[in-house]
Amino acid sequence: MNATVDVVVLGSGPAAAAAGCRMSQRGYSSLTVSECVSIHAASLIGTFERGLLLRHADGTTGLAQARAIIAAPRRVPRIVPFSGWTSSLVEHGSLATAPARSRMLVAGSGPDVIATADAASRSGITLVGVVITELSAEEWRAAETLAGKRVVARVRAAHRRLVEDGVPVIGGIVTRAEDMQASLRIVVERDSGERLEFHADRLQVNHGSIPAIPVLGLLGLLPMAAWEPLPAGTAPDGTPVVAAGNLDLAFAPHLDERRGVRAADDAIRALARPATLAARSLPVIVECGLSLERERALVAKTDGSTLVCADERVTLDDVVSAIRDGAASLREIKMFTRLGMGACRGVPCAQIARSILAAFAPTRPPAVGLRARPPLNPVRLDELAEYDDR
Amino acid sequence: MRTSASADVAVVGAGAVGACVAVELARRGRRVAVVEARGLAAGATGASFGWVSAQFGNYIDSLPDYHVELLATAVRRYSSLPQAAQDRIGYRPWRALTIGYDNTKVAWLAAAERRLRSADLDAELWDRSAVLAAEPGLSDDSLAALKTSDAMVNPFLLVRSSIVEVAERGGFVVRGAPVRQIAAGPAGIKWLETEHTRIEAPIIVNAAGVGSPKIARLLDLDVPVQANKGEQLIALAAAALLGSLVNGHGHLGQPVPGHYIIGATRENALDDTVTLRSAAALAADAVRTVPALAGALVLRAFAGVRPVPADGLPILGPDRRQPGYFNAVLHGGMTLAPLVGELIARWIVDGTAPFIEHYGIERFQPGLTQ
Repeated sequence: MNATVDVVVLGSGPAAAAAGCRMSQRGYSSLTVSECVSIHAASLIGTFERGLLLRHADGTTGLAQARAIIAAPRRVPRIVPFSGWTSSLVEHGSLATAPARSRMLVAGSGPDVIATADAASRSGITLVGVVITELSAEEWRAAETLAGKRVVARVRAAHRRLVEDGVPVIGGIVTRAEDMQASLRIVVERDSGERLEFHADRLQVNHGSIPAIPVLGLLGLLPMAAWEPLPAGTAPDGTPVVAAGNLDLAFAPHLDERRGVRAADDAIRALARPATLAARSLPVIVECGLSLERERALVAKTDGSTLVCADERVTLDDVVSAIRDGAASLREIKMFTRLGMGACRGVPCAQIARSILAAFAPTRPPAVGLRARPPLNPVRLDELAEYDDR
Repeated sequence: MRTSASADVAVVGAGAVGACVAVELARRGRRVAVVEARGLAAGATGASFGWVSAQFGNYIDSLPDYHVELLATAVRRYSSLPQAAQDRIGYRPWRALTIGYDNTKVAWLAAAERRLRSADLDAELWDRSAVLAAEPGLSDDSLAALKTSDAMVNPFLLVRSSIVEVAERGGFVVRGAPVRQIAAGPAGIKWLETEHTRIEAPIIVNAAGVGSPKIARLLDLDVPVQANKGEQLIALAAAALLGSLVNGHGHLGQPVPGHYIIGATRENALDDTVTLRSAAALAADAVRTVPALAGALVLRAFAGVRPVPADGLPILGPDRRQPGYFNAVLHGGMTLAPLVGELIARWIVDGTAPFIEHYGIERFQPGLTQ
């Protein structure tokens, strides 16, 4: 492929995805080059598909893989980390198995929220609140460009309908969620800084939206303090490099996304600066990636009993023990521990396992993610059986 | 940059067979290097059903007596392992029901029952009511079933525990690059090397599964092995739907509560891609076999490639054309790998082991006499 782009975004995590989206929102062309598609990248593509070209490092288009990852099914735990395909989930009846009259808080502001809210009301679930990103008028217009006016109109109408139905719609981010046995205690921080507390039986989080929750915080992984920008610089050929850095998915994805946005804005400024106009033929590189030392430090701080793959009950200790037993790739971690082999299909946990692997590997492990397995959407056995290719 | 190392034996392949050969050699005091082109259990083992059985494949009537005896020995070897050893590899009893839908198949099942019993294996022919009483989810056109006391083993844990023990006993694993050259002479093997590593070892065991012909070719030898692709599905459903492994239209079972494995297609092919057509065929067979599974959700489809020797039987032991070179190539590794590992190791260490004489590569070489 031979494309002229303004910015090349390196990385596959939330910062990279957010940076790529930001570039697109601001009218710059960008190419996000990923080692593998993270859930954040994937879910952002789901929201802003037109604006982000995501390429897999091996040359295949990451989009198909991203879709496969997004489309992964979920079981119905109390915490549902990824709402993207709620509608298909509901079709398969799993949301309907939620206890009647249960209370749910939804975080996310895209079209998925509509599906979630609709599904919840049909299933007799009470929505205690919907946490959304508050967008400026300019950002709404950007969203229209990216997602189409109809989609945006539907989203905004859904937000209005939720408010009319008496559901609190809050602009902010979920900063904390604790399992209090009887219910989840969820703290939402508004953009104004105000903190609100909710109690619900379920938390449905759309990771693709900027107010994504550090879901692993629920499980005890929340060292959010270590956050500082990495230095920017210039590549040997004179290409301006804007580093976003990140904390990695497991720890504080929404902060990563903010960093990505900030890095993108820096890149845009670099592009606009007269000094770099001469080098306009060169793309600006936005580098999103966590230093190995940082990853090691974060993993070292984490309690060993922390669940890494909630679906298959795989703990940090299990993953570490697999690595000590010789697992040297995500695939081998998966085989040794069953991480990602459940209904989660590795969506929430593969990236986390990658960080853990990085923390223990003598060098950064090869950039091989888990192989995406068909089908894109989970399908009933009898429906699959009816397929006829004649 | 190339590193070098030395070992008493280099085992090529880190699937079930290679791992078991390696651990049995390590237990006998040999320093073992396991050389793996890709990753641990990256070939047929990684896509295995995990079924330990003397009768899978529906062809027991065509097997020679010594092979039925080998299978029976392998099955008994698993069940006589200490509990802790069984736990390490995820070994658990797994009742298998091979279903007969017509009288021809039922007659075949009766013959298979006699054959298994003659090898001292548990086997019973169940009539329709017994079958449906045990497994109400099965389709009601199940006329009869051959019940066998089979078992499951977790292929990944089998490899993991073996590799860990190899390392504890001074061995090591080299992986990530294929063997590209082997130096050998009339006195034995000198060394083999990958892009990154040279390993000096007087003995090589070729346990590379579908890759074994390539390894043999480096020594101007051959191993008649056909790559046979098998596609499978994993589906999610209530755990209570099925307790047995069912060998009906295709086979399916529930190695992990709620997770049903549905397999497997057979097609002579080396690639491990999956096709919608095969997935649909597997789904149709599964629903015909167990209608209760109709609503199960298919989570993923995947494929593995079986290394099937030309006559279906394992190729084991030395190749007289090259001192120091041994074959350990077979399909059905979940059942046979631990026993084969032991037999190969005994042959290498003691110069003799039961069964091996039946499985030599010489049987494909009419010009050579034993």
